[in-house]
Amino acid sequence: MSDSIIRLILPGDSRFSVVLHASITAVALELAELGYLTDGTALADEIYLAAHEACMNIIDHAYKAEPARFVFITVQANAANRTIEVVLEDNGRAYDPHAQEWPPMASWHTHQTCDGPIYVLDNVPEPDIFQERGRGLYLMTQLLESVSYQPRPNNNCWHLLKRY
Amino acid sequence: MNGYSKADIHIHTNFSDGLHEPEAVVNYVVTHTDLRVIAITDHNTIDGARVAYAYWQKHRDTFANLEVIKGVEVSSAHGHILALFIEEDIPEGLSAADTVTAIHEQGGLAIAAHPFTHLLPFTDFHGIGRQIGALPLDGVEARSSVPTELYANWITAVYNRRHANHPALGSSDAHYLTMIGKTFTWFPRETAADFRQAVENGSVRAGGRVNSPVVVLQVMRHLLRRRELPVFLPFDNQHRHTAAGLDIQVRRLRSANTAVLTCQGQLVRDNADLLNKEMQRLLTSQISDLLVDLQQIKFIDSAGIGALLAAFKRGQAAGGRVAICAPSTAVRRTLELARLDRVFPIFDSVEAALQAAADQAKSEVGKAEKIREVS
Repeated sequence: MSDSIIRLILPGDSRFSVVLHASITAVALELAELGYLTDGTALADEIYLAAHEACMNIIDHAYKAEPARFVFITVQANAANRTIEVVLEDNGRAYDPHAQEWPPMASWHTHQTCDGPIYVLDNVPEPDIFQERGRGLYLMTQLLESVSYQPRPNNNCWHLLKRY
Repeated sequence: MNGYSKADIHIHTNFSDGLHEPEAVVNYVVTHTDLRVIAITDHNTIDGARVAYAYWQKHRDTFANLEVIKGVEVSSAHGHILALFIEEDIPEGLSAADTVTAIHEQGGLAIAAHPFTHLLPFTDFHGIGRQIGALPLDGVEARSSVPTELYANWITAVYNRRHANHPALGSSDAHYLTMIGKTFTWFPRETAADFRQAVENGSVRAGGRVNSPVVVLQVMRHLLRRRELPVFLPFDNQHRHTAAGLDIQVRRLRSANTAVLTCQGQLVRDNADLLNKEMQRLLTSQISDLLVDLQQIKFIDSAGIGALLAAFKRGQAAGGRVAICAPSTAVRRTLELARLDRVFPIFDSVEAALQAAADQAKSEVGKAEKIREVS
């Protein structure tokens, strides 16, 4: 049973996302070595693309105009459920799905909890082929089983789940 | 120097023995130097200067910080003389005095080019020497960035100070893009009219430095390269940008209005803007077809995709074509996921893309001929 966990604290800058890539690849390759997966690198590339998009979203929204802030990342494999989870937390401004032009509010599905709402992204419509911005969330839903976001004071959290 | 601007008044193009098209010279000046005034001075022909001038006029709002002066480097019987602010060719082979008169008749400025050059006796490269003391010149090129001029510059400056006291100008005598603006003339204020006024009242100063012989070696290397790759212009049309993990090498192809952008590294949010700007710049400078070579790109994200789409839209609006070449498996998968494969032509290699373009051009010619036959 392999349940590796990697925790990272990365500066909000795409130069450091190679570290994230390496971490996800390491976790996926371990699973592949143990026989849970056939192509570890391909899976890692998919998860990394999604996690990178989430990271860029944090930099653009939570840390807008605030450079040198950190993204707290946990990469976790769960062999029993056959999943890899990536959790990205930040302590910047909360991302407000209501205030965004894209994706439309209909693509979110909201759960109310005692800890505030959890937004689950389930069906982002395919963006217009010539739309230049706002493809990140679409790519994330295409790549992953589940994408959810929980805004909390000082601890916003993106939760990405990939089943293999 | 505060309130002063730079001018380079001795630049050659491929209308004489320079290596680059006049347009390439103007583009280079705008993108790589802080010159406010340039003069295109080909040997005994004003045509190159006319082309550069027309190109600058056409894109005047883009080149707002630059002015182009038409000029000629006239080979008089006694040596080379620069004629600036003229409209027609000056006959070659006249005596130095007659040449200066002819230039003044056209309302131009006569400037002695590299008067005391001496190291290349076997070429046509020579100046009018001591005659600078006797002729009614408007200025003397007292600092030239040609490496052989290292000490001729000094002789010129000293002789000019003692015997003539003409305004001393600096200019690059560039035959080759990277030499442009190495040596220049400081003048007060910024326009070509200001420059002219400054020469006339003597408030100009030579600035910049002389090129090292290494530059000559560079030129020779690129000449050799040109012989090997006749399709490509030498490295003027190759340049390179790097930012945040992305390296873009741009190569213009002479044959078609095509540029190949070879990208290396990762194409992500922090550097997508660089690619976007570079493609935008190319699409506004006579390039209609862009081939983006993604072979060396390991990773592309949604911002990178956005940059490609922006270029695609702009290219299409301009009647051109933007194609992607040789994406790696991972990048191709991302492009397919974003449905870009439906928008972009994706080729397996740059050669395949060029071949496809050539075939298409051929078939269009064929069609046109057929239509002509029918009618």
